[in-house]
Amino acid sequence: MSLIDVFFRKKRSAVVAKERLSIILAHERAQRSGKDFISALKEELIAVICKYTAVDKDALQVTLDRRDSIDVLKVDVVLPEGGLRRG
Amino acid sequence: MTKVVVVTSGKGGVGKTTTSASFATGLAKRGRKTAVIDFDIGLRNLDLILGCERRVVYDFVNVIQGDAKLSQALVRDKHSENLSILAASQTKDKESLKEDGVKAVLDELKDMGFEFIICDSPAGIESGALMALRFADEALVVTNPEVSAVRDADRMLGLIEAKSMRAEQGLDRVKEHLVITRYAPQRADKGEMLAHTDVAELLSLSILGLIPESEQVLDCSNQGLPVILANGSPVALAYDDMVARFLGEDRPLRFIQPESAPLWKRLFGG
Repeated sequence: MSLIDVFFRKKRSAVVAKERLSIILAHERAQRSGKDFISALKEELIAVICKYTAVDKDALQVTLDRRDSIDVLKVDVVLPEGGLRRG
Repeated sequence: MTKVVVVTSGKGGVGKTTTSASFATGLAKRGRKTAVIDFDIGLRNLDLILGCERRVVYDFVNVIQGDAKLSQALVRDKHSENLSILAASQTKDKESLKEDGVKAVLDELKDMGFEFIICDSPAGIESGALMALRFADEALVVTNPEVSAVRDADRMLGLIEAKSMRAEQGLDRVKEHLVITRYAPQRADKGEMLAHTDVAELLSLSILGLIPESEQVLDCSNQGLPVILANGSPVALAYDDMVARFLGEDRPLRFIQPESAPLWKRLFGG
């Protein structure tokens, strides 16, 4: 990488390659290990959370990421205004 | 105790046969009695890379089908006396590789005192590739720093974990190693090529071999010389490092930095 590149940074294609691969590999690994549980998990989480709170179904996000050799399960819940408790 | 090592990749053309030839030669050069088997039935090539194509009389399928004895089919390598080659059949089809036949050949090689049996897998995920990995104790997964090769390598890792005898019988898992070929450090440095660290991270494997891109590979295959014997060339040194690491030596990775460019190039690129 030249000094000029540092100042006028182009989108480096290796970065794109890595991003694309991380996504497709995570997806394919989940499929082949029969652990495509993310959608099922999401459904059940929504059901449980909706049972106790007034959270909007669309305000819930479940993602599975792989970093180094660690799987990261991330659940994002946007709480409604006025608190958790269902009226 | 014999170790069966599969050299596999999924994708074709990434350097499986080149790697098998140099790996087997490197082990033999270190005094280890080694056999290398070409599992690419119908597309025999290992014999050409090792320069023994004119001495092949019987092949792997002949032995499996009982048309020849294993001792008749094994070709002694001309470069290293500890290396024997079992060529693939050029005429039979892939379905000729039956599991019990393959197992019988591997068992006989074990009885003959071979310390390492290297299985050179065909590309793809068909029966030939599955047979090559079936009885493996360890696996060299070969890839280029290129998206499709890395994806296929990952697919192959999945197959090893699902279809190998070790996986099926619940034994210790197959030990998997990463071999990256055609690596160009200057391109990785510019961000035009996946860095070796990225490939290792994506596949969650540690790097056993990092082989630089080189014209030497073609030059050697033209002559039927395994490239590890191209004395002093970076590719030969990189393969020698790979063999040493496989045998437990601690060798730091090299050929990971671009050769230093002149100042004006470092400023303005090019």
